Amino acid sequence: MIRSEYQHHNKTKGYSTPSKLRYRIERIWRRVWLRKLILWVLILIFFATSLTSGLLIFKNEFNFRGFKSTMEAFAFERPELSIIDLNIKGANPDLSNQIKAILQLSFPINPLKININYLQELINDVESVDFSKIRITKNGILEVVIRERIPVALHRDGKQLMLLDIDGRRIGEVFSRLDRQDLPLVVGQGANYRVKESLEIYKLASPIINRVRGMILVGERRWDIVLDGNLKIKLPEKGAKKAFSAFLESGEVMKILRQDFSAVDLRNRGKVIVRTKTTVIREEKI
Amino acid sequence: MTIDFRRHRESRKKLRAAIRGGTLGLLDIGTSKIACLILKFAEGNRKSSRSEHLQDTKRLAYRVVGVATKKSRGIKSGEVVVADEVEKSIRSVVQQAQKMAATTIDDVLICFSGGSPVSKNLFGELKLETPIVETRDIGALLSKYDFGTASSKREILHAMPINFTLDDKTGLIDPCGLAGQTLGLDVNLMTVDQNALDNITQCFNRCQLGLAGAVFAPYASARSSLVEDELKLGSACVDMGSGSTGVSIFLNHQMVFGSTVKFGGEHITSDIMQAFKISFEEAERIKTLHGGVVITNLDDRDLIELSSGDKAEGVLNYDRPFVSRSELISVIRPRLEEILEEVDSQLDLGGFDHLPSKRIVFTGGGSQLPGFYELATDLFGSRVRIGRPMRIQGLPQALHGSQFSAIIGLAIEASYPQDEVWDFDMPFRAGATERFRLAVNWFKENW
Repeated sequence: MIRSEYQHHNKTKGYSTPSKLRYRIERIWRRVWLRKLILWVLILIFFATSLTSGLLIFKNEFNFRGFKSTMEAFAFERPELSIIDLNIKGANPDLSNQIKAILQLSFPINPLKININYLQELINDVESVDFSKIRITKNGILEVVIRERIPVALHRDGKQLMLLDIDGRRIGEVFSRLDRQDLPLVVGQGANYRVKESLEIYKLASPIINRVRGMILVGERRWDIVLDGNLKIKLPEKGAKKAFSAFLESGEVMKILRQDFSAVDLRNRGKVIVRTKTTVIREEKI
Repeated sequence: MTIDFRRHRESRKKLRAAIRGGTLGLLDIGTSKIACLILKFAEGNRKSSRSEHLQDTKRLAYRVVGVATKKSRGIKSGEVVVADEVEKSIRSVVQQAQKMAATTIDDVLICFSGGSPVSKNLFGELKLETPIVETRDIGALLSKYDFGTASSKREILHAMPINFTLDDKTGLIDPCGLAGQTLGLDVNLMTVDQNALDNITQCFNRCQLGLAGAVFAPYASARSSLVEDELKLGSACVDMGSGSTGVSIFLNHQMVFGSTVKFGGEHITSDIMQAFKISFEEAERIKTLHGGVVITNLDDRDLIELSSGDKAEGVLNYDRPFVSRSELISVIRPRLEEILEEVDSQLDLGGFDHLPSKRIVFTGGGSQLPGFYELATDLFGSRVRIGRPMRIQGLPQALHGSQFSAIIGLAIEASYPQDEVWDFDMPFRAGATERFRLAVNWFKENW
C-alpha cells in the first residue's frame, strides 16, 4: 500500500523509464560487432540483388554466349593442353583409315571438347574391332589401341557373304567368294552361331578338302557337307564328327566319291546310304 | 576472523578489464540526482593497465563520451529505499548515456555515500627479516592486521595504506628499497553497512551491470576538488550533498578520515516546504533560484512569487502568493548552520585541528548558495574555499558544477586508482580448521 502510494506520487512528476526488455534489447543492439555484422550482411545482400537483377534485366543486351566462349578460350584453349595428333595402334591400314573417318577429328583439338566415352563407343561399333582403348599421352597425342577380330569363316546369308570370327560375330562383307578362298564357307540360317563346330568338321575333312565347297546347316540342326559335283554328305544331328571321321576312315570313301551320287547319307548309325542322281530316279519312275 | 577480500579483488579485476576493454561507466547515485558518465580510455594505455598494481601505471588518458543526469528515485540519504525505482532510474540514465556514447558499458564504478560509514585507523608493525624492505614485506605486514569488522553487518569499502613508518621515520609513501628493521603501516579502514551496499549492488545486477568498485563519495569529491597543496598539507573536503553531507580529511595525499553527516540540501528544502506550506518542488525551486545565506536590507523588499504548483493537480493553493527573500534566508540559514556545526564536530573527530594546513574546501550543490562562503568563513575562519571540480576531457561545461564533483572524482579515481590493501598479495595465514573450511567453500562454489 505504502509502496503503491509512493509510486503514484513519483509517477506524476517522474520521467519515463525504459522497460527492462527495451533496455536489454538496446544494450544488445549497441554492440559494435553486431552492428558491423548487420552492415556487412546488408551490403552483401544489396550487391547480390543488384547483380542478379541487373543480369536479369540486361540479359538480352548482354552477349552471354560470346562472353562464355571468350572466357573458355581464355581459360582452356591453351597450346600446352591441346591434342595435336591421333595414333592408332594394332590395326591394319584399312581399319585405321576407317576409324579416322569415323572419329572425324581435326587437330589440334581441346581435350575438354571431346568425349572419350563417345569416341570409344564409335570405335567399338566398328565390326572388325574386338576391343579398343583410348588415352591421351603426355605429349598431346590421342592414342587408340585396337585389337582386331580375325575372320575364320565365310557365311552366306541370302546374297550377302559375311566374314565371321571364331565367335560367329560378323566382321565385314565380302563381295565374292573368290576374295577369300582361304576361308571355309558355311551356309544356312543360324550357321554363324555354330562356326566353331563347322571349323572342326572342316578340319576332319582335310583328306578331301580339295573337293569341299562348303557346309550347309539344315534346319538349324545338322550339317551337310557339299562337295563339287553337287555331292552332299549328310551328317547326323548327334555325333556328326564321329560319324564323319568313321566314314573317312573306311576304305569306301574314295570309291563312293568317285561315283556319280547326289548324296551320301551318314545319318543312320553304322549304315552309309548313297543316293544316285535324282534325275535318274525320276526317269526310272517315269 | 580472516577476511580474504575476494569481493574487492573481483571488483578490481573488473575495473582492470573494463579499462583494458576501453569503456567504463561511472555512476553517482545521489539523493536528488543520478548521474552517469561513460569514459573511453585511450588505446595506448590498455596494455599498461595489465600490470599487477594499478598504481604502477601512469595516469591513464581518457575522455568522457557519454553523459546523462536524471532526477533520482527511490533513494533516501544515499541509501536505497525502493529498489524497483532505483533500478528504473539506473536503467534510464545508463540508457541515455549509452545512447550518447554509442556503446555499452558492462562494469560500473560507483560512489557511495550511505550506509553510515565509519572510518577507523589501524596500525601494525613487522620486524623485517631482510635489511631492505621489499614488496612482499608489505603483504606480510598486512596479513597481520585484523580487518575483521566489529559486526558482521559491516562491509569494508576502503582499506587504504596511508602512512608507512620505518623504525622512527614516518610519513613514507613507498618504503620499498629502504633499509630498516621495523616496518609500520597505518591503514584507514572505511566500513559501511553491508545491507546498504548489497542493495545498491543488487540494483546494478538487475540492470546487467557489474560493480567494478564502490568509492566513498566524499573521497571521490575530494579527489576532484582538492588541489595538490591541499592534498599534501592537509585539508578537509566537505561535500554538501542533497541527502547527506560528506566529510573527508586528507593529509599527504591520503584520506586519513572520512565521515558523513546525515543532513543535506534536502533538509533545507523540506524546512522551506514546511515554513511556507508549499510543495517540495516549489521549495526546491525558490531555494535554488532565490535562496541565500546572508540577509541584507534589500531582501525584505524582494518578494518571491510562489507559483501554485502543478496546476493540473489543482490541489495546492497557497495562502500567500509571495514570500520575501529575508524570510526565505531566515529559514535556510539556521539549518545550514546546523549542518556546518555537525561538519565541525566530525572534523574534530577526524583530528582536523592537528593538520599543518587547516583548509576546508566546500563542494557539492549546497555550497552554491549565495553567501555560503561568508557563513563558512564566519564558522571556520579564513581558510575556507568553495571548490569546483577539475576539468576532465570531454565533459560538458554544464556538468563541471560543484554538484558533480563526486562523479568527476570517480573518473579521476578510475584513471589513477589508489592502492588498497587488497592490491597487495597477502601471504596465506590460516590455521588447519580455517584451511579446511576454505577448501570446503571452494568445492561448494565450484561444483
